[in-house]
Amino acid sequence: MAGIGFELRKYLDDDSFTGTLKAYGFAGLISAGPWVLSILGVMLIGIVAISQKVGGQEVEQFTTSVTWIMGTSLILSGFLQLVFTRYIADRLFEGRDHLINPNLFGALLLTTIVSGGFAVAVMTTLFHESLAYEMLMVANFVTLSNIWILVIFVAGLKKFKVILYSFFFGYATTVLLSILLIPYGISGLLSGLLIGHGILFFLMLAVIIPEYPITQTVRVDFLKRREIFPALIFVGVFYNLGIWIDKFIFWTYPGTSEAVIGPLRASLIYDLPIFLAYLSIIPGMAVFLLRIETDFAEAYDGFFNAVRGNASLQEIETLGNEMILAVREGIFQIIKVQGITVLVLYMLGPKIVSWLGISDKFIHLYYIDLVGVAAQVLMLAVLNVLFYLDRLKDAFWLTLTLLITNGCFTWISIELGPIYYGYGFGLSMTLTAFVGIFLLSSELENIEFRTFMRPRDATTH
Amino acid sequence: MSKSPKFNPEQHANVCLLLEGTFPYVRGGVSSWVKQLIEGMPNLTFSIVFLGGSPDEYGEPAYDIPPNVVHIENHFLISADKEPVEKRKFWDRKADKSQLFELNTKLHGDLAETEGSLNSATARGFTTLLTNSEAITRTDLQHSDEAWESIREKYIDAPPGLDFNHFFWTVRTMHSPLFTLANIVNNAPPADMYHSVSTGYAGYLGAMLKQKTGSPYIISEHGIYTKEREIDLAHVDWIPDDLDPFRVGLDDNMGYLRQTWIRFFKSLGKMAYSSADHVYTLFNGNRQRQIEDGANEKRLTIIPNGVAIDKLRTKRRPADAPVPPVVALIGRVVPIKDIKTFIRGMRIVCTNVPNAQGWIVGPEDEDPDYVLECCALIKSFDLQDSIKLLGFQQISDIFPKVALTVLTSVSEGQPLTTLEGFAAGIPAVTTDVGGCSELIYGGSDEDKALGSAGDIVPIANPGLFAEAVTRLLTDTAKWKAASNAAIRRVETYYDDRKMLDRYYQIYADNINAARESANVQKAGGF
Repeated sequence: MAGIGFELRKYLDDDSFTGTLKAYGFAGLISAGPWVLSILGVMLIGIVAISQKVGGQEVEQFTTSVTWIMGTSLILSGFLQLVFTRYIADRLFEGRDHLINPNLFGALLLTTIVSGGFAVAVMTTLFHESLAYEMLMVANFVTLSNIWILVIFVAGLKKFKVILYSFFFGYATTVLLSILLIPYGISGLLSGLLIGHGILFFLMLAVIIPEYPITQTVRVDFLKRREIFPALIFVGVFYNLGIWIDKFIFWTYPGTSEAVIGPLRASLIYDLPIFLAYLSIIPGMAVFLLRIETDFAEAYDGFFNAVRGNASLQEIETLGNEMILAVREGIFQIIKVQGITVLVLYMLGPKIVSWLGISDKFIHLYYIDLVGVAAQVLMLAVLNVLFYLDRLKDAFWLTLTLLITNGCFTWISIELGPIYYGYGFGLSMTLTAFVGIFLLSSELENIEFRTFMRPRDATTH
Repeated sequence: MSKSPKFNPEQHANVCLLLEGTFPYVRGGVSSWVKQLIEGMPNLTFSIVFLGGSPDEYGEPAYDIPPNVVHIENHFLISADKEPVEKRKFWDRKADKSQLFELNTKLHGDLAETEGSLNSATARGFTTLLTNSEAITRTDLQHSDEAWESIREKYIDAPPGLDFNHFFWTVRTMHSPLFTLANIVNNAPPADMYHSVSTGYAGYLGAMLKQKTGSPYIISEHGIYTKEREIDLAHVDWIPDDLDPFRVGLDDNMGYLRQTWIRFFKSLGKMAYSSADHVYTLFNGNRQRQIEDGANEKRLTIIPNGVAIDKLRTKRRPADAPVPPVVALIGRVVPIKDIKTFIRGMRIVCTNVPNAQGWIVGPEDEDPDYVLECCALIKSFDLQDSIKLLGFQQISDIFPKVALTVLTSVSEGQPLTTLEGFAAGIPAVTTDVGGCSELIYGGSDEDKALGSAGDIVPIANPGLFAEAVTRLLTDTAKWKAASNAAIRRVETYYDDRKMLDRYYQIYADNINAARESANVQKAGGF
């Protein structure tokens, strides 16, 4: 069991209400923390700016620019994220620790070159803004792309606390700097963001690098053909594109968006409700992390140790059933907890919406986004279990479903008219979650048979 | 299938030899015998199907290939032959193989229930399952629901609590080579007849080939395959840290899985015996064992080994020449030869006989760990000057320098090196295994009357071994008498020309019979 599971188990075994609460609180913080912090950070800068009574337009340009580079950098790094973490996981399993840091450097270097090249190309062709703006955008894009690679690497090592603290300090710096730099307009805000992200990035790096032998070499072994499971590239890209495609559609469709800066557009009606809804993932993510890292991880180890060890078939079957129970229990808990969260936030909906000054006309958007986000948590949990079971083919189909349905349904919802906005996203996430549960249950049904007779299906080795 | 020095799969041969782990890649008594057979019949053509473990165990051939070998193909049983992956369009209905698996269960039942001789229908049933157009394939074994159910059912019969992981891989590992055999059969090298020089996988391959081609099939068994595998399997326990993941199942200490392997090899043997037109062996002890293992008594014949007496006659020592106190163990350095008992025995001999030497003459590449263990033992006795590993040598160079050939093996057939020694006038001390006592003391009454050509000692007994060796080294009269008996025995009973004549007759009869029946078929006689 990884360190995090141990820590969570310690709280849970306390067996008191506060112990359980601590476990969930901790799990919620470390799982949803970074996500929430980045959304809150950008929102806070907006609030700071408004309180300073400075250029509303520049603040909007800033938030739109940040949102775009976040989405596009996630998608771009998606090509490498899973391929790289899989390579690292395999090397750690083999105990070849000396390959970790050189390849991490290689991955970061590769990301820097590719994202830098991409950003420069986009800036010089599609943008006609000030040089400062364009350079800051390139720098921020490169930094964020690197952060995503590093985050998934650190998350793979289960060092969630490192991520959480780094995000906290990074965004705290960004928000504080925004107060100082706001007189310099959008360039000032982007500089603050760059410094904050830089701190975030180097904090994580500083904690992680000493964990493995440090050598001054750079390697890109993870790009060797035999190390690459092609499915992982697709899953990484499909997943990130899948959860952003509805936003891009709303931003680029003329009827739902407006030009903000250069070619970048934003959709006021769509963005605020959905980012608000994303804040609701904390309880579901907490349950998800807690279940995955404790019950499931334990049952998983038990089952596969039995399979590889000297257990009888009866023992293997018993342990297989325990693993299935752990998955089922985890999914039910996510549904329960996230369901209650959705209900509470639904009832508080009118108050929140009026407090934030969103038009009542689009309150249904907020409601359906709550449902969609809840389903997304469920889908994420299923996807994670599929990764654990090394069922890359299923993960491929799942993320492909996500991408296609979210793209198509969102487009249809726009065609149908404003009262259907958000239903594309909600329906797509719900459908994908169901597809995931279906795939997972057929995978778990007869897990012994599949383990022995259908070994890993992405065998390019 | 992998390439070999001579690869002409279309080339027709008179006799196709099915060789498991012997000629031309591995040195040893059986390999020498095969070479002798091929070279002794230059007017017949031979093809060879070589079955090995995994490709990296074999390098270049260890023997020159005689010119009348027209084709050699190599197949490796541990790493499976590359075969086309079954690609099924997902809209194609999956073929229903449940009936095949039902038949498979029934045939396994027949194997389990049959004591002694098996009906050849069982072997034919399995061959059909493996080689028909609608067959059980390797993919089925590895991935199908039916195979999983079959394995589970068999597991239920096993003792409760048995380690499933090892059981599963044992079943899979032992059956996997059968699909390689099925591939061989479906692209069988054309021949008038098939001849396997063991049972085991090669023996079952012969059974399949006979059924598929209708050509005659005979077996010559030197050592008893199932017995040798039993010894191998028992040996695995002695070195539990020698884990080879490809031989999972062989390497575990559970008696049940070992029994499963032994049952499997016995079943292969029974099927080979039941399908063969005739079975030959070297001496009576083997014959008895074959009958126990299910061979039909009526189709069993003894043909002893033979050696080239004229060639070795020249190596004989003149009557007045001194006999050096040198003892040679000629054989591969492997556990079955029990080299360690030889070393322990020679330690005693060296204290009894001044200047005594023990030579271990034979290839050392088969089991490097065992070789190291032997060297360590010699070193621990501080006898590096007296006991030497000489590696592979030409035996004709060795014979003039030694007084005795010895064997401490725990299993032997009818050792050729002992007979060759006899032809060079060198007596032998061997353990009481296989056909050794017939060689030393004689088989029939007239044979016994020729006298004893050395001595026989129990296995794993360095003390008695050393006594017997010391006696022959120190008592010149006794050595002379044994040497004379050895020469008379080998000249009377173990002349290679007799052996070759008999096999030539067997080949000729089978080939003619095959051609006649082919002609009858062509003429519409059936």
